[in-house]
Amino acid sequence: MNPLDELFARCREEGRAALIGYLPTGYPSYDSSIEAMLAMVEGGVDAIEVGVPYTDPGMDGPLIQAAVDIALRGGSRVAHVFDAVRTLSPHVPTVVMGYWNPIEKHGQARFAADLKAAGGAGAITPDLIPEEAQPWVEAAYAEDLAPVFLVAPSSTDERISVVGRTNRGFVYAASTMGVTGTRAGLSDRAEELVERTRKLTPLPVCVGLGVSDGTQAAGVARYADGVIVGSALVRAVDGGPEAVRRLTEELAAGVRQGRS
Amino acid sequence: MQDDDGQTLSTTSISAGLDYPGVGPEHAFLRDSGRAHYRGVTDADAMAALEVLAKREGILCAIESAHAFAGAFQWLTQQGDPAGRVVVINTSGRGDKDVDTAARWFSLVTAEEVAEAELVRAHEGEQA
Repeated sequence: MNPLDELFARCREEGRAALIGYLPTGYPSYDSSIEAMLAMVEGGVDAIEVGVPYTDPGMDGPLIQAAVDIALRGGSRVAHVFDAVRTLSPHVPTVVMGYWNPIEKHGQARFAADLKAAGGAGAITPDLIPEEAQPWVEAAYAEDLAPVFLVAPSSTDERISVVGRTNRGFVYAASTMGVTGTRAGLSDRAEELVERTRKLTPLPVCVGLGVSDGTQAAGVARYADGVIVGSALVRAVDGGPEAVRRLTEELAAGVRQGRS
Repeated sequence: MQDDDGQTLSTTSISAGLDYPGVGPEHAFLRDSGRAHYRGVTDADAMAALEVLAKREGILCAIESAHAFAGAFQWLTQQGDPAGRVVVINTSGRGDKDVDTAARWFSLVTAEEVAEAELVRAHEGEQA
């Protein structure tokens, strides 16, 4: 059984949403990024998205762009991502969040095998569409990894159905037609999207883009199966592992308040 | 253009329109099917070709197109009978957009003049 399936089953029993935290490998250095990810574990994160730094991060806003730029200039390599997964996966389900080109360059089957060997549970691929991903999807299935494609407010029901049939683990619902980054308020479109997605797939639906504090996390947890936080945690890294742990605790409390 | 991790490499070219690290699918297909051959051209060769075209023909071509002329000149010098060859070159763009770059390349303006022009432009930008 994929660790993500166990996680969402447990969250369902506990009547709460899952907290998924993203940090890029190698920001501001490899060791510091690992410390920060372990601080998320201490703070109560349910699953980790280990970011694969990429030169053209099309879904990311200025904050994460700047962070992955620092990671790449510091020498962060795809091999480090597998090392990070190896370190984190004994603690919580660990997926990678990576743009397509490094995966294709690594070799799709080889990437899946290396990710599995490191204990990974799946991979989120924001710039790959499921209709064109058959070899990758087959490679992921063969290793019992969850391929995770995204849906957005602009997605047609047909696309959402394809994503729902293809994904394992969960569906990543992008809350807005925008890039990653903290936002003062989340649009109502996120909730509409989750409702629409639920009608088309039995998979858990997790909302990403824009959640930065416990109050927002609680707001999203009211209707979603998981809350994905990235930029706010990346910003917390600048305050050291203690700041990451504190923010994670606040967010973890938030996802537990949503439905009470 | 990528490294062995699939990271995009940064590029540099005197021609802004060629300063990117990719190849379009049409060119990739033409190359792979053997219907087109491609050769590299340096900034210096392209600008030399631009000068020849301007002085001999009175045509101010784009720096992108100057690469095609440089490539054709390169090919011709490798032929045994260059004078007997008929060559078609696609002058794909015009060069009035490139006069700033050319003026600097050919040292027709001083560094002070460039700096002054940029200041004026920034000032106009503020007013606009």
